[in-house]
Amino acid sequence: MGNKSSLVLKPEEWEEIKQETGFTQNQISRLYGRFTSLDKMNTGTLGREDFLRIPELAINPLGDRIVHAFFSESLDGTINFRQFVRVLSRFRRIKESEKDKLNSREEKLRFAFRMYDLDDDDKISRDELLAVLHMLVGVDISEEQLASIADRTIMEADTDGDRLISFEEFCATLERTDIEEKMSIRFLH
Amino acid sequence: MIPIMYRTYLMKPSIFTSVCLIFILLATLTVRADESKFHPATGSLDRHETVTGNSEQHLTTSRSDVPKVGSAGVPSLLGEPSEHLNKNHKSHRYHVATVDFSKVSTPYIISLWIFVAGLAKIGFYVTPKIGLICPESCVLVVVGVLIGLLLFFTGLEHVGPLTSEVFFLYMLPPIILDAGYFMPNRLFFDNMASILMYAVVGTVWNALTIGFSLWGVGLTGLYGMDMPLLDTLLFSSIVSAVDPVAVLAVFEEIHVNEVLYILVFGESLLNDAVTVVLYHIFDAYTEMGQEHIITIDYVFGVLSFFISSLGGAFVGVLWGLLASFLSRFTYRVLIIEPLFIFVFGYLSYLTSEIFHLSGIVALTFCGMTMKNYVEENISYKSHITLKYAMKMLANTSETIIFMFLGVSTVTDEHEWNTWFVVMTILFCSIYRSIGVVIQTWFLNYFRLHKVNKVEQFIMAYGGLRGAVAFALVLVVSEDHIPSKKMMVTTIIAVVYFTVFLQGMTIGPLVRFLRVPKSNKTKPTMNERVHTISIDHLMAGIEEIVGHLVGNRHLRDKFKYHNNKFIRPLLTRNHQVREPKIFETYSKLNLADAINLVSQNVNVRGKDPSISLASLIRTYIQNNLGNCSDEPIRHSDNVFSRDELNLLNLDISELDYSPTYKDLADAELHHNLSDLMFKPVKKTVRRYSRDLIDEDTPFHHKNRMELRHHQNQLQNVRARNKKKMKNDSKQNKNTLSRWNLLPGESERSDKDGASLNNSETIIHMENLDSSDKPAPSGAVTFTIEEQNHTTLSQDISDESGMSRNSFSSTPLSSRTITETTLPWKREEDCNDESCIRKQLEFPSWVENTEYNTYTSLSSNVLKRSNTDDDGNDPPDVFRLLQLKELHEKEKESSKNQRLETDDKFNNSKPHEEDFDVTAAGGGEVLQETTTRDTSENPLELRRPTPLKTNWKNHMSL
Repeated sequence: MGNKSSLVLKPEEWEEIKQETGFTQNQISRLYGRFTSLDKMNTGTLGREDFLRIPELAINPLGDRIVHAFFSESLDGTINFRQFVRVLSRFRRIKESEKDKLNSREEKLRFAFRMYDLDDDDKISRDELLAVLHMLVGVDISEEQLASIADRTIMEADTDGDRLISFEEFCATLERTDIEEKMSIRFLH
Repeated sequence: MIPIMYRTYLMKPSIFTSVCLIFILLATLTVRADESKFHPATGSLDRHETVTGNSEQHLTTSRSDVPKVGSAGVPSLLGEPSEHLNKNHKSHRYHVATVDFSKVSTPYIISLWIFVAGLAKIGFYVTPKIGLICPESCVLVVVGVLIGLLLFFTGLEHVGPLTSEVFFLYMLPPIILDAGYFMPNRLFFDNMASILMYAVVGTVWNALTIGFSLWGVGLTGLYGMDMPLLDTLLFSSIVSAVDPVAVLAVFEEIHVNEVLYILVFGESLLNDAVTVVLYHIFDAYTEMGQEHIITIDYVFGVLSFFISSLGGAFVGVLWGLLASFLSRFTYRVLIIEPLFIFVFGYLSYLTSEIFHLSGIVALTFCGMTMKNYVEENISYKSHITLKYAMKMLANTSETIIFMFLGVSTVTDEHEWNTWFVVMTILFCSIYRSIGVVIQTWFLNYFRLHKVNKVEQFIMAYGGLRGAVAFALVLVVSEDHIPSKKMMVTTIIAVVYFTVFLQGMTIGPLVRFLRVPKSNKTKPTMNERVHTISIDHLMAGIEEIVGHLVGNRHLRDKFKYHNNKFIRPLLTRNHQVREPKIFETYSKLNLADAINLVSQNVNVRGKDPSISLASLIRTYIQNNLGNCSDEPIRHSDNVFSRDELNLLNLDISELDYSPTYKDLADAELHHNLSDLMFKPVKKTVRRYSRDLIDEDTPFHHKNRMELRHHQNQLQNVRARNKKKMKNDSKQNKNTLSRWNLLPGESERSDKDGASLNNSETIIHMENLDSSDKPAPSGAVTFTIEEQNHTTLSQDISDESGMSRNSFSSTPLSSRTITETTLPWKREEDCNDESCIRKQLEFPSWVENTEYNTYTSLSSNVLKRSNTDDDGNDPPDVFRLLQLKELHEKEKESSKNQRLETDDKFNNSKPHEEDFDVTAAGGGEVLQETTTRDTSENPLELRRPTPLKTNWKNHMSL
């Protein structure tokens, strides 16, 4: 795997990715292996359909949202390996020495926030929350019940009274939660 | 002597402790009465039975040979001298009263033990400062020792033995079931790998190292006796297991963080499987004799471990699923609902014991499985019952176990071997520490949450031994292992060492080392929802990364299959995929409702018959009377008076258009307020610290409530606006709201909702009347009815209230309760002054004590009452106006009603203003008149008596 990836990636790219994401060489080559295995068409980029081909992601209620969040930085609907690694590096565990990297608490929360922010306006509206709740809870639930839950959620978080949850309000509600641990994956070395 | 010891131990002898002592003494004497024959005639205590009696007999012994005692009643009643009493008379005479203790001795002694244990527990919590010095388990052991001494010196030490049968069959299961049922499943499975590692590898490591070390030391002849290897291995397998009971008792008090807790506690639960297997292996080996063991025995030994643990887990899950399935059908027999949980748990325990599987593992898994599904099926009441019953049973057996441990210490069968004891304690501590460090080092490589040095220390230090080990060592047969007595003594010493020394010091150590404490708080709605979505997110990311890292995608997969296949089978309401969200929501809502009721005591006021609505109405009528310079009741114009009363001047009432959720909320409020009203009234002074200043008229919580309702209100309006267009045509036709079917009336209700406070009042009034039969037969309500019927009732009530109040006394502030229930009237208020007084000052207004609560209505009411001239619009209008204006900004409303409201608010209420034909006030008028003309009794939802009322006052 390592050989194959080193053939495709130039040495300076390696260094840049390492610098940017904080992954080790080994981790990057593992991820590259995963990247190429997802890239069934061998285009060097991943499209949405490549992600949705993962069977577990298809049954994940938030699968669509997760894939969407992956493409938030891309313009043409595809991501290359570098963007792929950049997104994944958000879920690296935070080391004490690191500051202001991609995997900071704020970046992690930003990614979680994107799950709700369907129209990318940096606010969660009632309808957006309701839609996500529907994804989570299922379709058979009465609108009334979910609406009251959505109302309650917004009322709780909304501190400036605009009936929208901004990113700051979102972070404030999760202050007590151990996001650093909840949103980290142990990447194999 | 014993009482003195006991008192000095407790440092501060309180009344309670002395009472305890008396009871314990009494209990002992009662038990003695069983053993000794008491001859009332001579007054002598025949002790020979006890003294010479077989002290090995334990509490299950029933003594059928003891003759009936206490036959003194008959002769003395007859006035015969006691000398005439002899044995011949006894057998032939009928006895008025007999004492037959032997018949009930066993359950009686058990009850006494529970009773004493309860006393000891209460004593622990009553005695100040003792909780700071040592954990409860220590105190209980000490009390046990004291009782043991008491029994020992009275020659009764066989009364309270901790036999292994009693322990394993009756006392351990409740504790394990409780632990399994209330186990934080998620935490457990997140750390499953580590827990299994500690439980299996750690315990095997401990058993082997301790066993071999003890044997090695024994070779030097330090113990002064021969200890074969198999004996020490058997002993070490008993002593190596961390005890769940002791761990629970200690760790529940020190509140370490969740991960640490689950690691130690999970280990202590699961290592039972290992202990049981090791014990059986070595027990069998000793029985076979060292020379007969062949290789196949070792292989089977290892195999039996897997069978025991996995089989136990399998049996547990199976019974758990069965219990969950059955709980689907218990909703018709709620009373036995909690029973299933206990029975099935116990059955799983016993079933696995039949096959020599690990009962503790089975019971743990059974509890964990059941909880997931049963909780969704059973009712709230059953849930509470279950929770308390389970905790009670577990707590009682835990208490008794520790006491019995103390009692059992005091026997003369000890064989103290200092070196053996010292070596055992030493090896236990050393090898556990080494084991924990090595395993943690290994596990940290894989774990996300690294276990740091301090936590490792607490884990090693928290390895307490307890009653399980003691009960196991009692089972060892003395035939195979001659050194059993020494083992028992050593185990007791180890247990005492860990429970006392480690148990007492672990709390201060945790504080000293600043181990992160757990901060358990109820999740907010946001936390709950976001945590769930983050879980899905992380599962998705793990799938994208694709390596087998983490267990989140496994959990997600399980969740998916669980929702798809298992839950539809086991739960009644399985549409909801995330029951936790709803659980959190209903919990928060319940808390809110309770809060609301407790805060807004004055919504109902001191006088429950006065509502905000009625006060406002009174106020306006009063003002109108002043304006027109004549009391309205003397007005000749019947119709205008009629109009006045029909016009509903309470804006919030007009705006009230409940959704199903509103109604559900209101219903909850009724129930709560109904239940809590009285107690709250009594404890009202406690809330005085929530007093708010006059400058800030709103309590924080009220603001939250307001905003909450505003949100709802907006949605309702947005929805209603659409419907209004469709319905308006219909409404203009003969279809009045009264004639509509319930569902339609909900839809055609086009007024926006408003402040829930006032609507709550209305509901409450309705509730009052619904509870009792209404003698005048005006309205009867049933709160249990469906929502839509409640709705139509609500509407009918509003107008009914005005009509009723009109029919009785035109100017009165009476609500429906007052008019319908005669005993609710303070007195016959027919004279004018009485009404006047009530108008300006409600009956409770002079009682300053009740005026000081922080509620929206009470503030409003207070201000409106203190307006002396009464001509200024009270604050309620200003308040509502502000609210309306605020909303106006938000939604660029074309709703006419808003303007009407503003008109109401800005201008002084005047007669002309009531002629508005806009959606608000006019509609009520329109409706009521429409209803009056279309009298079709079949279609009316209202009972007829009111109609006669209505007719009556029309004829006025």
